[in-house]
Amino acid sequence: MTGFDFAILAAYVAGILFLGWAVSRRIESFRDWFVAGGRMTAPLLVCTLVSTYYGLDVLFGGSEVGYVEGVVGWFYYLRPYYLAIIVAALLVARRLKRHDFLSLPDVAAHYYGRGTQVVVAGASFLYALPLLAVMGIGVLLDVVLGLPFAWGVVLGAAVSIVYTLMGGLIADALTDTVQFTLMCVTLGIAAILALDAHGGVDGLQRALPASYFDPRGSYPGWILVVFGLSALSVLVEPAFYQRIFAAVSYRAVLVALGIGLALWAAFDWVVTVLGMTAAAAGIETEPRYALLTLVVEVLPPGLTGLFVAGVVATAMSTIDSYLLIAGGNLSYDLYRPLRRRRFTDAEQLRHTRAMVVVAGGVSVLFALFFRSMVSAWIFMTTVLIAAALIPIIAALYLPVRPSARAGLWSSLAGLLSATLFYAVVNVFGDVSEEWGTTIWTFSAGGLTLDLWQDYAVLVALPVSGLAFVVGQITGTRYPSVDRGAR
Amino acid sequence: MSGWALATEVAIWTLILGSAAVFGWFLAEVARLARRRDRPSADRGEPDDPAQ
Repeated sequence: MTGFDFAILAAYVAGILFLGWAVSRRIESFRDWFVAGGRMTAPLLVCTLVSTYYGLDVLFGGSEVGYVEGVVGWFYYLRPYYLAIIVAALLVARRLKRHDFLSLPDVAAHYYGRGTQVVVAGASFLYALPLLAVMGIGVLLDVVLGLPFAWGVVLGAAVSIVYTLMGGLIADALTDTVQFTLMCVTLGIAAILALDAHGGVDGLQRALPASYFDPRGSYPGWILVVFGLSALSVLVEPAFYQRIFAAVSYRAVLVALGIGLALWAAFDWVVTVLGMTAAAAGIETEPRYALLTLVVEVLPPGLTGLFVAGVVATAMSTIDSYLLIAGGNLSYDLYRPLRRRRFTDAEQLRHTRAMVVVAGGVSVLFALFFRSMVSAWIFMTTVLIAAALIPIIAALYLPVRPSARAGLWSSLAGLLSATLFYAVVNVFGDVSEEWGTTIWTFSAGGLTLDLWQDYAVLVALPVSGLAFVVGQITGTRYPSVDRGAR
Repeated sequence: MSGWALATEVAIWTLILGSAAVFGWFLAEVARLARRRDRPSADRGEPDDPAQ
């Protein structure tokens, strides 16, 4: 990177901090800070939805699969999300907009009471920790600036925490807008230049094995099912819920998701193709570094700085959004219900801001311990799906009111079975260098089975469903709903 | 041009032009909100444009 590139990066960071400060002067209440006062219109929703979902897990994870396996990355790792988003937009969002919720655990509390709220809030907190994005910034600053990984992680998290603390969701949405545009435009330009330098897509077809253009790739069938199931997390995705509650109307949600879908599909495809281009170019590196290494090679000075700023933007738009949610889970969903005296609005705002710092600290610690991005992502979605999917969807769609016991048992059983599955596979299995995950191979009845840790959701989801049914049969109806606590 | 190449061209230009268009829409929205704040009716808490 040249001095000009560094100047662009520095200007970007200074700019978003200034924006956070400017917005903070208009924040008057917790609702203003946490869900932008429920006044977000379609343009803002588009930008914040698109950029929040698109962190470095997609940029590096998607290109990693493209680099190693080809177009299967788009068809099986990324495409199921579009279907889940359509279902979420048409079925879930409309029902949620009828209520006055502020968070996903709020929904659990409304239908099942405090116990389920606590379990769902715990799962949501784990899911929302932006450790992949924080790791990504560490990797980026290491590759581009030579900054030690740990310092990059701390620096990226610190800047994100500062401006999230200042402006809340509205600052998040405004910076997301800038970040979203930077990210899309620089990635598009990088794709044009990279493909041009390597003979275009037709050149990739000549240089790569035919399997790179097979939509199924060479993954085992069950792992493709797991990829598909992980997309169900959209139906209980905390950031998605928060933005639905923040939207000015249901129609704004639909418009934002419709536009978002087109941009997500385009972004995913470009990322996958860039991973494949890196493979065709013969770049020898860790798969997750492939895209970055390729792009830094082909972009001229100035555009490299913009691209790096775009990648930092991609990570930070995820970090700020999820820190807000994780901090909210700790303060609003977990701590607030346990207090004898209710928070005043100012106390709630102050306490949640403190919890954003705590969530940032926990994310940094996790980021320094974990390395594998795709597996970490599957783990986080598994935890969320196992604890929240069955109870929340059942509450929204069952013709009868579910019992409090059904919600609690379902969320607890799902969470515990997923955790137990991961623990067992990690105790008895071995890390596979080929697939970058832990696999337990054992023989039973003359058959040899490969149990991937990522299969946890295949166990946890039926267990959660069964526990819900048992809880519904044996439990009594939840007598009343404490709406006044909100 | 193969189907893969065509899909890639469409994706790249959707990304660049789509995001630029959304950014323009966002700026127009900010200008609309600024105008609305200047109107006295905004102080009475009148609802947003339902089309948004």
